[in-house]
Amino acid sequence: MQVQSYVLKATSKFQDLINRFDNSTHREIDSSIMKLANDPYSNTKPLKGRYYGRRSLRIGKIRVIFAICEECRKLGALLRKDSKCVDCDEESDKTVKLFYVGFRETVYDSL
Amino acid sequence: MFPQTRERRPEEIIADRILLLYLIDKTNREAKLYGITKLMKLAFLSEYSMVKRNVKGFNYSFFKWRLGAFTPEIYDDFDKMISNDIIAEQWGIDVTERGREILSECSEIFEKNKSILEFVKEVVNKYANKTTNEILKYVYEIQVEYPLFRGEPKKIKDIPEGWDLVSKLDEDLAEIKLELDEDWIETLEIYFSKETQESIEDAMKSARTEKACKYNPMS
Repeated sequence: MQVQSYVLKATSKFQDLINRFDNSTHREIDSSIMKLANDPYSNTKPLKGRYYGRRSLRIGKIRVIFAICEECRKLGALLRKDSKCVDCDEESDKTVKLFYVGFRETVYDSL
Repeated sequence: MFPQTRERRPEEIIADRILLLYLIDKTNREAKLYGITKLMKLAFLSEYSMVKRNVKGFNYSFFKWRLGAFTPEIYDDFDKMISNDIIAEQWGIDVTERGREILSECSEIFEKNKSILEFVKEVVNKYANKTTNEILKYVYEIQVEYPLFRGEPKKIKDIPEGWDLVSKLDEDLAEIKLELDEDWIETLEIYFSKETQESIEDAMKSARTEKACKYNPMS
């Protein structure tokens, strides 16, 4: 069994959002999320602008927004002090914090 | 029924929307932008001058239609931006507060792509103050290859309806291309969807007030 390098933590909002998916989709999301515990940097995209310090993971049409605490402290917190999590001082650098999961909007579809 | 256009890739749609938003904002600084017809012609003139110089900025496929150069893709982008509260149409087309925030947060993109934005600025400086009719007349007189890519120059007014006028530039022909990396594309996808952005903002807000718990996957 592979040793997990990062602890996965979820906000209550994330928990609420993921519980809205059907069981099969929920399991599919879980399977991708669990991989973040080994390496949250690979196959994920760092966000820019107001989400600097946060990352996005795409699972088909689903998007997960999360932060790697060590990275967020280096990047995001410096830029947006108001975006600091309430438990920021308690969490270890090796924490992956899950904020949001939802369908990617149909940005490209015609109305 | 409109003729078939060359389908835009997702990253090209994102590039078009941010450039279109930039064009609307710049035009409004010069003169009130009344109606989508004028916007359509300004986008056409911008893309036309880009493509002539092998610059890949806008990726619309324009064809000849009743009022000259036309593409339904601008309607798609326009409607999406309206429904996501980025622009509003009341007494003209305006950039909303949300749209202005997006523009301000994209300053890095604009800084990186100054040379491409020059094409847009040039068109705005020349035509923003002209009436839609004046621009329509000017566009009718422009010469494009007919048929596109393989024919002789012909005035747009003399080209039959349905024929291509300007098409998006292929990657391998582009000498300059709008630089928009994958990270920015992902971020802009979020910005361009009001519902997604609000939901993410909500989630971030909850993290500022409630502690996170260890995540347990579904058993």
